[in-house]
Amino acid sequence: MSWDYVFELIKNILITQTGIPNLAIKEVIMLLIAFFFLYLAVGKGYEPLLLLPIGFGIFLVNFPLVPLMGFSEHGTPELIRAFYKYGVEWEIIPCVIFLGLGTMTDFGPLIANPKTMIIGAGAQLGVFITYIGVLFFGFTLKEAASVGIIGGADGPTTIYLTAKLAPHLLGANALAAYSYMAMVPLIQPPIMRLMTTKAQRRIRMRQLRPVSAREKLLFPLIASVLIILLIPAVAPLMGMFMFGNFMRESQVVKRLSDTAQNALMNIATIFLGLSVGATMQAEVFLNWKPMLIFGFGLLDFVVCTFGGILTVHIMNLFLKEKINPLIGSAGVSAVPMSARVAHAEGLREDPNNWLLMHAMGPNLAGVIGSAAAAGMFIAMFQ
Amino acid sequence: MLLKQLRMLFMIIPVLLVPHGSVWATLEEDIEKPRPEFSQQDGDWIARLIPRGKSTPIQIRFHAEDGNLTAVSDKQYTPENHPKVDPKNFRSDFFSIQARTAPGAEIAVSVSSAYFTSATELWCQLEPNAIAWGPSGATNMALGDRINMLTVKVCDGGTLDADGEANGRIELIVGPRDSFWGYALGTLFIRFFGIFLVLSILMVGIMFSGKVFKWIEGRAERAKFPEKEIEPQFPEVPFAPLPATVAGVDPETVATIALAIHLSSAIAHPQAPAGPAYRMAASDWALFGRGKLMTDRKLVFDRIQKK
Repeated sequence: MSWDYVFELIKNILITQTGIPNLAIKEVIMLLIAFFFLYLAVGKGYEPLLLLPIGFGIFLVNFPLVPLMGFSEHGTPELIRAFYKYGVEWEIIPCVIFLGLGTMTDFGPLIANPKTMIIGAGAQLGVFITYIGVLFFGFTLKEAASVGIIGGADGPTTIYLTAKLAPHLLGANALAAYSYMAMVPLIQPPIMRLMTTKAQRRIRMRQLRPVSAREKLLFPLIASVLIILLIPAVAPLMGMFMFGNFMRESQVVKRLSDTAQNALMNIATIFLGLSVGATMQAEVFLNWKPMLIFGFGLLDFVVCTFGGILTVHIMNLFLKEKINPLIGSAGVSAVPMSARVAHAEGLREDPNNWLLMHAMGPNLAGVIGSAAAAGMFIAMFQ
Repeated sequence: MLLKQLRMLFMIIPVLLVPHGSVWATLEEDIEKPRPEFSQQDGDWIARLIPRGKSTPIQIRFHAEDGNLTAVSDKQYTPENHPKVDPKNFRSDFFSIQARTAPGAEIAVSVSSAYFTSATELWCQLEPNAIAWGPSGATNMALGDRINMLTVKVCDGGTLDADGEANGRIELIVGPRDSFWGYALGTLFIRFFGIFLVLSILMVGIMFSGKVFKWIEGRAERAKFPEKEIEPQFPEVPFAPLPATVAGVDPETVATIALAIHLSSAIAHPQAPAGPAYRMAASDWALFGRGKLMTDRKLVFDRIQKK
């Protein structure tokens, strides 16, 4: 055995079995992007439940030769590919998260003031404006729909729709959606102040009527009947959401309800975050489309906020009891962050004006509205 | 500060990208190019494909009158070769239809699908061996069951025959055309207002069920407290008229005295200070005191209700 042979052997091992010589600049960039999102999650506390696993997913899959997102020699999916295939591609995890969200949601404010439902519809304006906007940049109809839904500010809905229509954009869309949801307190207030006068921000709203337990119990059934009859394509998301809520309001399956909103939701979140992050491999992510998605995602949030507030202004033209336009911004779902922002902005003008519960109405309507928009897009491409 | 800069960056990026030619080239990549599979059925050719902007496959049937279809295949049209042809408008691809007939004869080629609408046009290559491309003048007919059929007449060796020779072989290059922007904008408005419609229906549903629940709960409450219904069984005794203001004493003092008398009298009737027995036993002053108390309470109650 000569030294040449030994060196050749070492060289072969280094090239084919270690990552160092295979590490390309693209992958280094992706690792930096992963560190950035990990910093946002850990250092800044922005949506850490999602951004941390997403960031770590990006981090893991961008090392060369890692057996995580490919298929083994037997054709079986590798670890994170399996999470992705069975969780996201099969559209299971977003629906499980909706189940958990249903068990955490109190529809009382929406039932007490059903008029706020319209605000949730108006706040979907950005979804459609963005849809048209990205078409000008050469996106396909399906891609445009998946980018548009970012403004719905609903992570599971965005992931569900993107996985269905444009899976290659999943990472960018999910990341844009969660990043901007975390930035709602920064994005929304300037638009809210721009679109309202001081007097409008001071409008006080009548205390909401109490909603009986029976009314809350029947709401998920009534809402399911109406929504699923009108948009059958939204049944997986809405069905799970309303099922979770029915469990909560029935008060007879507290164990199930507790599991759905805690253990199950947490497990689903871990796998969802990792899977979504893992789709962002250098060769897929490093092109112009993700950058455009981030740009349009921001525009989407801005227009959705604008649409919600504008809807309240229009409603106020016809209503005797005026609605504080600040709660229009809560129409972009981002529950409960955008409702809190509306409340905080109200308190700035009038320290005794408690808008939180009023803002929860459009906030919940926004969840239903964005799911409805997703359902309409799915139906459009069927 | 960092976030402010990031926001600016995100806003600026799309603007910077617009004039960048390579960006457009990357973005214009036709990732949804249909890949039709062809089969034959009863002399007709059938293409099965997933068109642009759709997730489920569709079928397109090709048929010829006064001639035989010999082959149908998909036609590769690239923007470089045909700059005036925008593939986005041809969501179900381009086809090359080959048929045999008597030399110089005319045949009618029809293309039908449930995917076509009344607005679908059949565009084709207008001159032999050329890149001119436009409407073929095909008729669009609804066949029922949501199927629309586009029929065009082609003469062997005529302008629509791609080989340009009257040799008994016809090649027709076609593409069913639907306006991309028309569809995108149309569906945008329909779906945006669709969301308003859906949520409005839900709103009306909640309002209606809210009223039903209020009524049911009101009834249940009335059933829980039947004494309220029993009360009218007693004869109604009207309150005595209010005493006139005592000379030299201001109305507030009169009201205070009357209220004090009412409260002391009410001690004797703790169960029902408003009942008929009390009303008969109490003096005018006590009844005036009670009336004053109740009237003022009602004013406060009404004010709260109005708020």
